[in-house]
Amino acid sequence: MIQRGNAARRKSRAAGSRPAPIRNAVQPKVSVVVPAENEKRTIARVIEEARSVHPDTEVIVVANGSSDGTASIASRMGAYVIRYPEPLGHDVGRAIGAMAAGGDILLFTDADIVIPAARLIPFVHAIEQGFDIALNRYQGAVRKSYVHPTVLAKKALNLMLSAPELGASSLTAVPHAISRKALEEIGAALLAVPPKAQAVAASLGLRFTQAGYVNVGRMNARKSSIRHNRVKRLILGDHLEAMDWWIRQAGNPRADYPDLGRARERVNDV
Amino acid sequence: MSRAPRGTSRRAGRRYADPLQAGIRLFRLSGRLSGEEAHGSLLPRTVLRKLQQDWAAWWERNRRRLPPRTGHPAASRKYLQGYGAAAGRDTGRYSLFPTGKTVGCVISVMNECQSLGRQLDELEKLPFEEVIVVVNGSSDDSYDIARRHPVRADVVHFEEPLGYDVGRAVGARLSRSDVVLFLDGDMCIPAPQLLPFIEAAARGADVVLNPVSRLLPAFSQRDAVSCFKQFLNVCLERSDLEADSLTAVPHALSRRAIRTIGASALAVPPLAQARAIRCGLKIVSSPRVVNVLKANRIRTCNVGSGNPVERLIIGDHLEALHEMMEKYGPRLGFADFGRKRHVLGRPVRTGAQDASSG
Repeated sequence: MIQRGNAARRKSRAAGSRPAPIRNAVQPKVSVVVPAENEKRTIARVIEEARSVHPDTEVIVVANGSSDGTASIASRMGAYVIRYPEPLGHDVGRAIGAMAAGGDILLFTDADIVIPAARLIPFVHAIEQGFDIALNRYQGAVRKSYVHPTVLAKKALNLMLSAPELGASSLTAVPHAISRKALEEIGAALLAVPPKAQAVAASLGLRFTQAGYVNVGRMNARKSSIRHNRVKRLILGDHLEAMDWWIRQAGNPRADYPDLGRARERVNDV
Repeated sequence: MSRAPRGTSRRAGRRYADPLQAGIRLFRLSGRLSGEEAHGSLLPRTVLRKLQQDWAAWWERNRRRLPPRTGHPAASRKYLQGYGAAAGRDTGRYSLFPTGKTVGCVISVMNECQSLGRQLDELEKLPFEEVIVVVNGSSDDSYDIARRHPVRADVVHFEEPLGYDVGRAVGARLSRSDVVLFLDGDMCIPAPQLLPFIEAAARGADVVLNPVSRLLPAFSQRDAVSCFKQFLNVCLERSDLEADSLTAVPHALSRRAIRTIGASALAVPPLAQARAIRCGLKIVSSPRVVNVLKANRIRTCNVGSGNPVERLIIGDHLEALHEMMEKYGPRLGFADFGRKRHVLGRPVRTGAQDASSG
C-alpha cells in the first residue's frame, strides 16, 4: 500500500522534476530532526515526507560536513538548516536539532532513508497519546542463529532496564519520537549518546512504547564495511556507557539486582 | 624370525610399543594388591591414581611408537586390559587421562541426594587426584552419601546454604590439582562426557567451557541469561565464545587460571569469566557439548522470565561489567569514533556523574 503511494507520487511527478519545497509551520506541533552529511540523492524526498506527518510540522536539517550540496538542497526545499562545516559524528546532529526544535513532539529520522510519511505518523500519534518515547519495533535480523552485536547490546540494555517487552528496540535506531517533557528531563545533549538517553529516560520513569515497524535494515544496506564496523563498535561502546551510568546511579555494582544471599566471605574460611 | 623385544610387538616389520604388555608389567612390578585392596571388584582410588601416573609416563614416552591411528582411548584401554588381566579385576569401567598433570573434581551440592550418588559413581571411573564435595545447607542425605561413597571424596560440610556458586569457589580454594573440573550436584554427567574437558585442559587450555551455545534457539527466542553471557563475551572481544560461559557446568580450570582469577571470584561466574578473558588466559570451548539445559532440575526459582535466578545472573553480569569498566573505562575501549561532543555546549562526559538533566 505504501509502495503504491510512492509509485503514484513518482508517476504523477514529471520525469526529472524535484519534490516541491515545503513551508515549515510557524508554531510547530511536531519538529522533525534530520541529521545529514552527504545525502543529496535522498534529502529532498526525506524533507517532503517529514513535512507531511502533521499539519503543523517544522523540518530541521542539521547539515554537518556536507560537501555535495546537501545543505543547499535542504535550504531550497524550505527546511530549517543548521550548518556545520565538519562532520559532527554519530548522533550529535540529533542533539543539535533537538536543541533548536520548537515542537511538543520531536521525531528523528535519517537523511539517507526515505520513509513515507504514513510510516512516520504512528510515532507522532504515540506521543500525542501520552507516551514519552516511541520506538521502532524493528528488531534487526533476529530469526537467524547469528547474533548481531548491536542487536545483542540493545536487547541487553532493555533487559537491564527491566523492559524486556521492548526487545531490541532502541533510541539508537530511527525512526523514533520523543515528547517535549522527555526532551527537557533527559536534556538534548544526551541524545548524542542514544542508549544513555534511553537509560536516563527509564530511570526517570518516562513511558516507552513501540509505535510502528519500519524495516530500516533493508533500506540501509549500502554502508562501507569499514565504516560499518566502526559504527558497530561505537554502538557497543554507547551501550556500555549507558550501563556504566545505570550502575553508578544505582550506587552499587549490581545495580540493585539480587545476590540471593551468597555467603562470599565463607570462601576464605577454608 | 627373532622375537620382538619385551614390551613391544611386531607388526608389518616394525616394532611398536605395546600398551597391553605395559599394563601387565605394572601389575607385576607393583606387586599384588594389598589385603584391603584385594576385596571387591573395584579398584581403590589409590591404585587408580598409581595406574594413571604410570600410564601417563608410559604414554609420554611411547605415544609416537604406537601403530598408526592408535589414539589415546584405544591405547589406554589396552593398558587397563593388561593390568586387569594380570590383577584378575575387571578394569573395563575405568578411563585414564592423557596427561601427567593431576586432575581434580569439585562438586557443589545442596539437596541432591538422588543425583549425587550416581555422579560420584561416574567420578569413580576416572583417576582423579582429588574429588572435593562441598555440601551446604543440606536437609537430605547428601552429606552422608558423600561421606560414605567409595570414591573417598574430601567432603566439606556447611550447615547453612552458601548461595549460588559459592561452593565452586570453596572447592577451588581447597583444590591442589593442576587441572580442576567443576560440576554441580543436581545432575549426573557420565564419565566419558567429562573427558573432553580434561583433555583440552591437558593440552594447555586454562579455561575449558561447555559449548552450550550450540543448543540455543534462534536469537529472537533466547532468554535473558544467554543474551547477557554473549554480550559480555562480545564486549571483551571474545565473540567467538558466543554464549559459552563459566556460568555453566561442566567447565575445567587450570591451576594458573584459579590463581589468576582468584578462587573467590568463582562465586560470581561472569566476573570470573571477565577476569579470565582480560588477563589473557587461554580460553576454549570443549569440542563436545554436555546438554545441561535439559538436565537442569526445574525449580520455581529458575523458570519464567524475570525469575530470581535470571535476575541473579543479570546482576552477576553487571558486577562483571562494573569491574571491567573501573579498570578499562566506561566504554571498555569501544571508541565513539569521531563524535564531537564538545559542540553541544553542556558537557556529555563519558563516565562522570551526569546531572539528571543530562
